[in-house]
Amino acid sequence: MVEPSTAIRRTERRGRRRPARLPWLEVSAGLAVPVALYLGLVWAPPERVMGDVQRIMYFHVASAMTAYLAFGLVAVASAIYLLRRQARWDRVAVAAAEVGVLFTTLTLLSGSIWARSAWNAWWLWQDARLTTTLLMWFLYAGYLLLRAAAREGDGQGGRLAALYGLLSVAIVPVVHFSVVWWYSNHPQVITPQGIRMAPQMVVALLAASVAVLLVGVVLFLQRWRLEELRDRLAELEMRCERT
Amino acid sequence: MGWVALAYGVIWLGLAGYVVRLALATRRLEEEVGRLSSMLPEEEATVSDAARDARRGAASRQEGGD
Repeated sequence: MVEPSTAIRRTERRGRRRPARLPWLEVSAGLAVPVALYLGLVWAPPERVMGDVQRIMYFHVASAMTAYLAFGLVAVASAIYLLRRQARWDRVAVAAAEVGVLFTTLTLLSGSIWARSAWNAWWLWQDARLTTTLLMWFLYAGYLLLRAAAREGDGQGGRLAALYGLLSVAIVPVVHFSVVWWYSNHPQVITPQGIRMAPQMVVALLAASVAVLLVGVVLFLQRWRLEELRDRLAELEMRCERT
Repeated sequence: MGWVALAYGVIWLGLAGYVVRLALATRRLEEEVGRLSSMLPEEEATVSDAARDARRGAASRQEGGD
């Protein structure tokens, strides 16, 4: 086995890899958002029964899909971290989890506002989609707490957090299929039979999905950069104490 | 349209709040990193990502006892 000190010296010579700053991505997100807002709020027709309140759906669904992808990334990064023990994958997982929790929060809040208008209730506990989504929020908020607690340890705590991050992804298909498996009032617009919406609404939903995904990627990269800086600062503090 | 405005307000204010939080935290950390880097000799201040991985891996192996 290679002695840790030898490995450290060898890797000290390699370059530092940081998440790249991608201005074109930030500009794309900045352009996509107003376009999607125009398509969803002005261009798409109001829904026949619900009227304008259905327009909440465009960014609500887009936020939920972005959260799913973020949690998928948490699982992939956690698995790679468990296999390779490279800290950068742990940082990717933490950044993705926080962005996922943010978008799940926005999904829950926008859904609740829609429900107040459509169902005359802010929340229905018997609805499987609502309850499982809240459970997903708690699971990943728990991951963030666990990761924050494990930050100091870096060893076993980090591996435990990674394992938790990997296993938690099982909730994503449960949330998605909850409307099929259990009782739910939640509208289903995307079904195996196709998308049950007017073509203009489909375009507005696609535009919102692209815009929110771009915003999500920009936020993720920024959060990842922050995590890199935190570790770098910790390392510098350690070196300052030594010298 | 009131509910729509409320929902979109929550979404975009939430996102804007998060962006501000990230920007402030990044600036604070960059300043702190810059301050500490200036206190150290150049060689000591350059910490590669791979080096940190190696340290973490070493700590992890020691904890695992393998």
